[in-house]
Amino acid sequence: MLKMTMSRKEHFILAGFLAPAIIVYTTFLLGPVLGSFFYSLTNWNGLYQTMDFVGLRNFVNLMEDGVFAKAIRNTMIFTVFVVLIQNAIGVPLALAMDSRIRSKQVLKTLFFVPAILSPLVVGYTWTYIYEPQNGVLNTILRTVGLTGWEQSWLGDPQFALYSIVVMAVWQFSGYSMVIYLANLQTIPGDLYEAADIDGAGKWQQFKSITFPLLAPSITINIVLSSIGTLKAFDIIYVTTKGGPYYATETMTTLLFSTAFTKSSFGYGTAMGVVMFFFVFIISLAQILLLRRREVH
Amino acid sequence: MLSTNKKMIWILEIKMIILALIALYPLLFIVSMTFKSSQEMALSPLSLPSSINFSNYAATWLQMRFPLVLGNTVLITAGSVTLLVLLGSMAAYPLARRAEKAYSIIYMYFLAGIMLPFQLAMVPLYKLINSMGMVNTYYGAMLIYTALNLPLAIFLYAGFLRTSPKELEEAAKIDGCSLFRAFWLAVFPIIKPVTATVVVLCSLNTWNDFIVPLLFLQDQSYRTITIELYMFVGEHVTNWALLFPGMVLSVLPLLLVYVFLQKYIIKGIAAGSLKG
Repeated sequence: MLKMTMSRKEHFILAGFLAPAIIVYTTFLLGPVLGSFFYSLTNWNGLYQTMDFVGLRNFVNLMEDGVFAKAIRNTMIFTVFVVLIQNAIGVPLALAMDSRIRSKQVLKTLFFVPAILSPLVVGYTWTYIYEPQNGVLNTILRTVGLTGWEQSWLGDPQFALYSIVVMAVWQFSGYSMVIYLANLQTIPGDLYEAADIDGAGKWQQFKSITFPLLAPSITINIVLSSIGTLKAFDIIYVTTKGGPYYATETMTTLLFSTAFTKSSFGYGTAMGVVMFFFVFIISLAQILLLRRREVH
Repeated sequence: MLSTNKKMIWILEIKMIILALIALYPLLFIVSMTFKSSQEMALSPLSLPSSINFSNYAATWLQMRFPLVLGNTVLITAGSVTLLVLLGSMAAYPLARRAEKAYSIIYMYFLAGIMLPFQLAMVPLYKLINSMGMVNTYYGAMLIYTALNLPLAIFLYAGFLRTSPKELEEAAKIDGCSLFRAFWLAVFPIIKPVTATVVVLCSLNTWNDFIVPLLFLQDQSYRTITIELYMFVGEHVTNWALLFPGMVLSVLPLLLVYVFLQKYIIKGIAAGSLKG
């Protein structure tokens, strides 16, 4: 009996530990989001008090909306490219930083620098690099005689999305490297010594020791970069605003312009709801798949 | 055998140094541009500046009202992160220690926030903040940032707490400490490494954010560095002579902190990610 009241008292105190966080989080994030779930069932324009309940009409319209389909496609292309390239660069960089080169401390610090910049600064920097007339990239191409390769990198629908992929990869490869490197340093050195004695080559060692033991950091890197890329907004908004001709329109930029610029708030939030489920399902699937690999 | 090995290390070293230079070239380029006149920028964008001239910086410093926006950014970042560490660590404690279903439901409730696109919350949030009279206030921004970063903070704290020993806090409780005191005396010091990670990640998020100030801190006297830079670009679209120094100035404070604390920052990020 006494024990029961003790534990009830303890729950009561623990509720006090939780309450401030729950209140702030619910009031300023989850509550508004749930509000948006409700607005996605209306035709509210975000300004006036009046709105009608339209049921699932916004979602039905979304399925026939060619621009939204394009935004989903772009988001997927953007995410797949950024995640794959970023990790494909992150692993070898981490291996190099784990080797016996002398400058590794300094190099590690330098490779990480882009990750601390704001997407705004990254966006403006690359806008100038990609600028068709005086931009660095075209000037370099001209100087080495590759005039035919010059492009309006952010202005041409064919290249714009991939140009932004390069920006995102540039910014966050160092971040992936840091996480891989920490994982590499937990792999005991005698495993490699044993493999050396057994006569295993470097590639063989990477395949059967390093790569399997990197599983935890592969999981965390892929999930982190996927969520970050799916939700990316600033880096696109400050460079192309989704253009030209929707070439870089992703779910976040379309949501923003639909809800705020075009004042179709109900419709815009319906996009956000769809996007939430996308992110949720993709990250859940990744965690389950990659975790299973970790266990074996 | 040894000498070929050494040779390979040298080759790798040189490759990596070249790669680092290429990776940092965009930034070095921007810095070199800040010392050029508009004319020099157009005529010879790739060459080094003909002279080191700080007049662009002086003009930008005044126009961006740099001391004011820097002060705002520091205040908002410090306030948000302090609040976040207090609320996040306390909330994570019962979530990590108790196995009852209610606690795991609350944990999932917080984690859902990691996947929510913030854009989804914006309009209702704006209505709310407006009705509370918190537009253009420091504490309004701090509360929003705390809410935005809580899911990540709780995820990191709870992950760490699950693997850390309970002996100290049990001892403190036996000694008659209240749970509250036991937490601050015996638990909070142990989770310092995660606190470092939380502080680093969330300071970066807050310092570099631009949506929250775009919506809630439009007033001249409350602007942060990023929003001032954004407004600045809006007003001086083609005037790169002012823009480049503006970009460098906006990055510089963070870069200085990074140079001095890089060991802890990199360690903090790696530790937090792998533990969680």
